[in-house]
This record gives sequence, structure tokens and C-alpha cells, in this order.
Amino acid sequence: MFRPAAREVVKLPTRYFSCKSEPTRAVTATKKASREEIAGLIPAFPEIYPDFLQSPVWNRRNALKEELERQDMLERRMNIDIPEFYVGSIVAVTSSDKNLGSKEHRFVGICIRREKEGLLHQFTLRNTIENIGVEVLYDLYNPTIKKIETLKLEKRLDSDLSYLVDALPEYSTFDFHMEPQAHPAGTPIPVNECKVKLKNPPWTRRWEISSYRGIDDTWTQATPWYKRKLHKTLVNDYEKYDLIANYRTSSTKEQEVFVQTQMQKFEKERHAAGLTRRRILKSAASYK
Amino acid sequence: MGIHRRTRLNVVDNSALGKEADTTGKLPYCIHVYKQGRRAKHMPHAELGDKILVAIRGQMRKAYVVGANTHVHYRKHGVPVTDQNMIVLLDEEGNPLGNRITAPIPTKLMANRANVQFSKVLALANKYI
Repeated sequence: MFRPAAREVVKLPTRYFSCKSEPTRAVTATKKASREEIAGLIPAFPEIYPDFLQSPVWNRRNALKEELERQDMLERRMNIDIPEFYVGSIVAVTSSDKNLGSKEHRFVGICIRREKEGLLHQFTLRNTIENIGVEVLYDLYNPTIKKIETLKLEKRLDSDLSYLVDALPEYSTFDFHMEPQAHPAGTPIPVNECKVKLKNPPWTRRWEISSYRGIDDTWTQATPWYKRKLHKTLVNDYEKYDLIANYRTSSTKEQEVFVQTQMQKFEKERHAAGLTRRRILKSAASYK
Repeated sequence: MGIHRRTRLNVVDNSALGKEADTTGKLPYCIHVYKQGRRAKHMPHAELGDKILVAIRGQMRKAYVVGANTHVHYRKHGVPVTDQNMIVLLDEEGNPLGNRITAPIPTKLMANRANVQFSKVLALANKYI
């Protein structure tokens, strides 16, 4: 239904499969990334805009719903500057709060989770305030959000930092008056290779049987009962044999290109109307 | 998963009873939630700002929930979730037992200002998150 007209489609070299199981083809795909950038597209689009992706569950994908939601998301992005941030970045959110005298509330924390697609996209910030761990979930497109700032743009070793709940409090303590650190445009996003130390068990979840790279040695800390109960096998250990797992869950290149061209077109229309100069499609790593 | 019968809680006011429970390591636990339920066996869970009955040091005390560890699936936009369940103890008349709250509490509780008993609890808070 929402096929772009033929002239709008950016001509990309055909990718035979969306999975990277064949090394020769994976190499050719990386080579052609530069042509993609010339067209103004972002290679790391799924990471920067997880809200614009399709659902990983195939039977929940609905082109009409996605299209309608995308229109609303683009409209919202014209009114509020939503910066690029990743799981592991330090983010400040200013939201309106009718209960406070100042009517405004600011929370600073490390982004530990980004979930759901479309208008319902959510992210969770975590901080330790007076030795009490606090997590706040925000809907990215909730109109009560007034401002989102990325104070420190970086990634961690994992794409889900839920384990910070059971980590020592110093790993999730951030100053509310932190100065924003500028990221030099055009440089790759730094990866913070910090490995956290967990508190002694019991933990909220059994972190030792999931393959988290950002936890420092969970097995020695696990209680003897669990060690006897379960040998050191990872929960998703078999997943590396699933050759089309990537194809089933991740977005396809065609869809990414389609969404990006739509965003570019929307941006161009609004700029031409002279209403705003705000840019929606941008990435700190590939500055243009 | 919400505060219900037998949930262990942390007292965050400076009352002697709460401090005693904290130092002895025998944390108070919830024994009743003052909320309307459809059926006796399916009682609602206590959320932020709800009144509960707790067992603490061999006594029964009423308390207000001022911080809740909510399950990831039940979280709401902009409502802070603390790692522990925090309560403020009340005496027989319904006034707070301590005279200061030592932990930051969510601003969402201020929506209950109209409640006379709860406004006394809010008056003790010195930091909001």
C-alpha cells in the first residue's frame, strides 16, 4: 500500500539475504556501505532509531499501523529534539509534573533498556539517589516530556543493562548536575568496556546463565546450590546454530531504506515550507 | 510483583521502631492492604500511596507505601520505581511515627495531598525524585 514511487527508491546494490551467514556476501555488504552514506542514509539506523523498526514478531507486523504511527512519530520529532542515545548512554529527561511547584521535573540516569517499536517505544533510566536505586521508565513519544538530553554518548558491551539492579551501587551512580560531554561529529560512538561487579546473590535474575559480556565473573559468585543444580551452560547457547535467526527477528535492509527515504522526504517538505530547520535523520558517527 | 501479604518492606522514617527493625535485620512485612477487593482471596496489591498493615517487632502498625518496586511489565511513564519497598509507619491516631523521611520519595505521591493523613507524611519529606 505504501510503496514509494519508483524515482524515490534509492538504488542500492541487491542484497541476496538479510542474514550474514555467508562470509563472502557479508564482506560485499560492508564495502557498499559507503554508497549508502552518499545517499544520506545511516548505516547504523536500527541502533539509532529502534523506534522506527518493525516488530521482531512477524505476525505482529502491520504496514498500515506502522505507517500511521510513523507519521505521528515524525510530527512529534518536529516539535521536540530527540537526540541519539544508546543503552549505556547517560541521558537527562525533563518532563512536566503537575504535582511539583516548578511544574517541571528532571531526571538523570544511565539508559538501561530500550524496548518496543513505534509510538510505544520506551526507555528506562537508572540512577542511585541517596543509596537507593531508582529506575524511571519513559515513553519516548509521551507529550509530557519537555526535553531529552544526552549527557554522555556511549555504548556498553550489552544491549540490555538490566543487571545493574544487582550490581554494586557505584556502577549506577551519576551526578544530577553532570556537564554534558560533546561528542566530536563524525567519530565512531565509543564503547565503554567497563565490567560491573555484582553484589552477592540472591539476585533478581540468574545473570550467570545468560551471556552478558558486561558482568565481571558471575560464576564464582553464584551460590553452591545453583552450581550443583546447573552446570555452566548458557541459556541461549544453541542460538549460534540458528542460521536464520537474524533474518527472522531483525529488520530487513529494504524496510530500513524505505523508512529513511520517507524521513528524508518529510524533512525536506517541512524545510521547504520554512516552518522549521530541525533535522530528524542524523547520526553522530556519520556527520554530513 | 506489588506489595501484598508477606512482602518485606523497609522503613524509611526516623522512628525508633523502624530503626530497631532495621538494626536487628528483622524487616517488617505486610499483613493486610487497605483497599477494596472483589474477592477475599484476590486482594489488590498495594501501590504508591496505599495504606497497609505491617507486622513489625511483634506489633501491628499501619503504614503508608512511599516507594514501590514495581515489576517491569507494570511500570508507568515517569513514575520512579525504587529497588526496595519503602514505608512510613503510622501511630494509632494515623499520624506519622517519625518526624523525618530519610529517603527521596516519588513526586507522584503529592497527588494525594488532599488526604489529611497523607499530607502529614508528605510534610516530613525533604527530597523528591
